[in-house]
Amino acid sequence: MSSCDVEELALVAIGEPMSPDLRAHVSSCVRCQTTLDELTSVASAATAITDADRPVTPPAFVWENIERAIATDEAARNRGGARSGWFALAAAVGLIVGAGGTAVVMNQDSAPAVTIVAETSLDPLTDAPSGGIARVEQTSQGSVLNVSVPGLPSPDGYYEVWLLAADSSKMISVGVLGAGEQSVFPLPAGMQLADYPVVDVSLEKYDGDVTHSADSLVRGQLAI
Amino acid sequence: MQTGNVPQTSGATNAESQGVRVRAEADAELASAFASGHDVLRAMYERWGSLVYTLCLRSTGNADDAADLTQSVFLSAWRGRSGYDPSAGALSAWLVGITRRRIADHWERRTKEKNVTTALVDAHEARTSPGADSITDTVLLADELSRLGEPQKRIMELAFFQDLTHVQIASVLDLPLGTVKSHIRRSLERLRSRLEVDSVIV
Ligand SMILES: [Zn+2]
Repeated sequence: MSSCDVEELALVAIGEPMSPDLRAHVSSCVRCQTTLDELTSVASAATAITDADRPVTPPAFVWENIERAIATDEAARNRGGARSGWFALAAAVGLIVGAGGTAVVMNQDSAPAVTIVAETSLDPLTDAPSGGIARVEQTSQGSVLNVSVPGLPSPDGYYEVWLLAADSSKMISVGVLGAGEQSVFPLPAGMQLADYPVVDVSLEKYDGDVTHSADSLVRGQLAI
Repeated sequence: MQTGNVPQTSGATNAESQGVRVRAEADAELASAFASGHDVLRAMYERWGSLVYTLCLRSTGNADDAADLTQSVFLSAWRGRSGYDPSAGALSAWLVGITRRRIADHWERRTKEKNVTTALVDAHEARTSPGADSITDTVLLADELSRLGEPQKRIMELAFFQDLTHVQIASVLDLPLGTVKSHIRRSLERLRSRLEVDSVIV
């Protein structure tokens, strides 16, 4: 045998013995050497397949949750009429910090002793940013939401922190995330945090639109 | 170096090759529709949902975590769709890349949640025992294997997992030797290109 025969190489790749003729050819043919190496490594990787590697169909609720989350995104983007609704709701709870942002940025050194009431990691929703962490803390001044998302790029706009209902049906603007790594937002004493357990940080444009941009960067749910 | 005839990859006129080509075209169509912002997430989910879920399941060993991660992968894909560049690679490879980052994030998070000693052991195990790369490869291969038609699937299962020779396979399945040989070659090539397309290094 003197010509390239990929079928024979494939048989060798799945573990069949190599004929002397084929061996002689391969030893002098770079193309066949490459092909044999590639097919052998594919075959040996395939041989390592176990039952756990076999495709499993995800449960139906996975898609339902994806669909719901996207619908929420779209609704937040499109629902111009609800703007006043959210705004009023947030104002009623006394949480609107305003475009200027009155978040108290604490200095680590002078931070008073705090008790952590609840904590969640903030997981990246898109590929760009890394995650962060959000904590509800009990301080001598009352409850605060401590949000830290290190490594966010300089925004074209600003980052806004939100508290959302678990099903995203309602949300409250907590304030504008400061330039530092950490921002601390006071929470009103009467607020039912359990109604708004999801912490969300969005990228907002300077477009005068106070509603959520639907461009969420990180999100996490507090166990309350 | 031989300049011998290479008839094997040319003249892909048989039904199997056409099937592969049609699927590749469908994938490319999906990719360009996705890139231009159309709502094709459902089609993507139908095409790659089980792959993503299985990768997550295999890597975490936990169905709840796998479901959470799968949701987060497709939401990330949807929310980050403007970041997908079809010229940079296949949509499936992009999705697999997101999946692998989500899985890595998951382990990092788990590591942080635990105390330092356990965390170190876990991190070590996550890095060493079931390597992320080889998990991805075997799951990708299992996925592609499941998409082979018959008798290709039977043939490859017998070759890989029963260790039968092509002569034995031909006899078990009552097929001509030449048919078995050419199916083995084409199926191996198909598995190889699947790895080339989707086995991204993160
Ligand atoms: Zn050759």
